[in-house]
Amino acid sequence: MSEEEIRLQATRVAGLLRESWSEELADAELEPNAMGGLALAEALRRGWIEPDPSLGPYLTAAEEAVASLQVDGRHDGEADDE
Amino acid sequence: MSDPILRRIADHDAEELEACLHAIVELGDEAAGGIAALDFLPEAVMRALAGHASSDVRNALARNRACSSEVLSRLAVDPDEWVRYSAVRNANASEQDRVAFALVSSPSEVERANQLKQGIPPESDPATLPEVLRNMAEGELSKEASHRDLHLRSALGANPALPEDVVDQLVQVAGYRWEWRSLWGRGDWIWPSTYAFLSEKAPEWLIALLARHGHPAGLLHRGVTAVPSRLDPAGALRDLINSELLVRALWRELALAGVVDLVYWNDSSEGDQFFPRANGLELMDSHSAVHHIVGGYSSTREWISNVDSLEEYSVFRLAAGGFEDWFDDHYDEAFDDDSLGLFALCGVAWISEMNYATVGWTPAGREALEDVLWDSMAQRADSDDFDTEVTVVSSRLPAIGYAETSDSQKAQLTELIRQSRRDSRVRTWGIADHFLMCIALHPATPQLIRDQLLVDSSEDVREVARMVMSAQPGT
Repeated sequence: MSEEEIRLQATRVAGLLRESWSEELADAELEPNAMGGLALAEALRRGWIEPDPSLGPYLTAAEEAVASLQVDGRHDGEADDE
Repeated sequence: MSDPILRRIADHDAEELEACLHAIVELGDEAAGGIAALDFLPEAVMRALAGHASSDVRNALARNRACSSEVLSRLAVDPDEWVRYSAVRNANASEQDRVAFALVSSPSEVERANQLKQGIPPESDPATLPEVLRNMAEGELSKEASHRDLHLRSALGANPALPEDVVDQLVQVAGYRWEWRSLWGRGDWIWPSTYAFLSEKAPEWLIALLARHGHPAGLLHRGVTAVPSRLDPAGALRDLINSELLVRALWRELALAGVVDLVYWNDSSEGDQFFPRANGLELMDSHSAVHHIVGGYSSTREWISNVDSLEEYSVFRLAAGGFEDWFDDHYDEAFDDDSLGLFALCGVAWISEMNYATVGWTPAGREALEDVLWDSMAQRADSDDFDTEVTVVSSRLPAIGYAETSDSQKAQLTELIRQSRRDSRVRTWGIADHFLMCIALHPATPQLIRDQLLVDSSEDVREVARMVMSAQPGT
């Protein structure tokens, strides 16, 4: 994964994080690597750290965790609607 | 409790031993407690200790397996409940002692004593047969690392009845501070005779006598004639470390000479750590056995003064340590931009610290660390986790040191440390290497000793000796 790809992935994950930055995320009990990946994405977005390719797995863990949260959230929402 | 120096004096002159024991008892309750635990005691000294004003001292005597039946009978009816318990739990207690105990104790005290008697697990009980302990240890060692029981290993490691060859095997797998401390202590902490070197009140004749019989603390005492001891070198080094005399002598003087900085980390989770740091030199691995055994918490380190502070690295360490519980710790805060920034900094700290990932901070990131993380951690961190600024102050034991000892004392000390490597703990954990590096760095170390350290078996020691030599003018 290149630095540019890290930057792009971080932007995506940071976007997901900002959408879910609420009590809901606090209640989700994410596993530590996914939490770390979210934090990394925000730090990269803010330009606080260099986009080192070795950080990729944390971003991926975070992206997958938040995406599944959102899917779960949608499912819960659908169930409520019914 | 053993004491090879007092044992030597006992073999040499019984009257001298008695005078020596009485003089040590006079140094205070802690010293008297050490004497009361000795595995050989003249009857007259035992009788005197049975009437000692401190119940801790009488309790130490009541627990002593060398305590005579006559003295045990007296302690079984001691006014202090705990002394009575210890006396009747002593393997040498007679049925008569137990009856006497029951007569002077209330029914609830008798019941408590019986419960205590049943409560010692075999791995912690020095009365457990060595072969039983060996089987327990080998069973533990045969398990996969992830299935091993830290508490069991620590208890076995501390049990003085565990055979030494099994100790060596436990040393190889030990990876946590409780284990290191247990394996290092093995039941004995400091020799009772060492209290003479730790007291300002010890008479000169006592110090001279102990040094003449080869007490290793004589190697750190200015103005005494220390003779080669022919003691077990690892046991002697252990006594110098556990009594903190070696640290007091070497670290204190190295800090005063500006050769090292002394660092103290409070750490409520991993245990306090106190260690020397030299510019560009690794004198000991952090979070290692040597860190915890040689430094660590101590209530008797009056020669330093600590003021709470928070160093840059510790801010980072604390932020990392708290990250997994971030949401629990910040549950009452708004989910806003500021909290998101703090979350990001703590998470990066966690990834960097706990996972050893490479994180390159940009100038903006460094600014954020300083502006955001520092303030937040200073407000939140438990003061038990703060660093301290260490200042060396005067020692209450001015005769203890290294610089003002004779060349002969320095040479004997160096040799004792080198020889102590025969012990697996000293060797495996790099304890001898650390002190030899300190000696190499010390400005008062004679050239002859530095020359020996240049060809030491440890690359780290050779490296420090080389560095010091090359820094000296004219070499």
